[in-house]
Amino acid sequence: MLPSLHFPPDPARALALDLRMRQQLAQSLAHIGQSLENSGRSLPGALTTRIELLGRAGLASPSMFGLYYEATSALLGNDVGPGLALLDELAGAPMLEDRTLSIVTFDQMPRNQQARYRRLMDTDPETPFRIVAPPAGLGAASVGAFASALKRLRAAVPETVDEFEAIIREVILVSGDPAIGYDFAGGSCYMLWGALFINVGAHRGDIELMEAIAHESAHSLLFGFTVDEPLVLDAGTQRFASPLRDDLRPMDGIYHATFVSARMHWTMSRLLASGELSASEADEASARMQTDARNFSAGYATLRAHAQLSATGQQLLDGALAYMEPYTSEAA
Amino acid sequence: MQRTIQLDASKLLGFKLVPRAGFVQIGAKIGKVPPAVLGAKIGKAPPP
Repeated sequence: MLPSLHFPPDPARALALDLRMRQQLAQSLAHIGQSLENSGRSLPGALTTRIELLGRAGLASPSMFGLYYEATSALLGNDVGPGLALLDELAGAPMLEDRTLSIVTFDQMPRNQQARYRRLMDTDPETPFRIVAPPAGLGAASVGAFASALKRLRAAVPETVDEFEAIIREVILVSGDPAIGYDFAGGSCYMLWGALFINVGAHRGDIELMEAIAHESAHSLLFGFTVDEPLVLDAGTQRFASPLRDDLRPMDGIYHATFVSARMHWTMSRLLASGELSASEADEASARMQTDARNFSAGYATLRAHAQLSATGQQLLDGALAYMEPYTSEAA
Repeated sequence: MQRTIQLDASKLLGFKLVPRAGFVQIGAKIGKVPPAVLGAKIGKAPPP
């Protein structure tokens, strides 16, 4: 059954999206296994076990998804040796035991995992994205700050955090490589389903962190909706001004920025309504709502003028617009 | 004797999203996945 495309956070739907992604991973690996057999090769026995576990709702780590994408890219590109080696590595990757959220700094991960995450996040030739560990001495504090913000958000807007934790398995705290020449707030990647990167230096205070959680988890949510078709059908060759970036972006990026702006607005509005904020935090949240509304309007105008939306993209955007309409008329 | 591995992108998570105009034939090379669809979504920090 296809998931509902309504706009507000829905933890049960997020669980279903996560399950679907893992089942699709299992089916894809099974197809690769069958293709290997047809070619006179065999799948590692441990990988057959992984496929069975995934098919029975076993929890896959973001690393497993990353290994799958790297292995499949290699095999599709006829790099058979590297592809099979990556499948071997995937076969040895442990399943997750439960849904406990892991919050770590980049350097706390094994080096080969750091390298893989770097490669898969740095996939846009127009926008290099190189991550490094947070500065020495900031690690524990940044983990604590994120956990604290998440706890506050759970108390104030539980459905946002429940949805977040249905999809996100790992929060990886990073800094940007100074050589890339720009700063970033966070990031996530379709090929690392369940992982979310947060820049420790980019968030001053709980309101900014809570908005970042809403921002990045909305990107991951959109990934979850796009298993069978993309959000936009544009070829991806044209570039447009993005409300959330200072560089020109393809239409898929504009779509993401528009939708996540609506989700950020929703989260800020629920935070304000919760009564859990101090007076200065309430002012900050209110100001962010106005910025989110302006960003949504700018992105939506670009989509309306230029985008070819898939059915999934259209329905999701309609839901975002229905929520934002009272606020965008005020912001106009 | 080992033969060419033939994968059907329409059966592969993520790779189904390649636009129709560039839809993969069985066994064809597609190289790197399209960054706009599968690549990183990076939230750039606003200027100070």
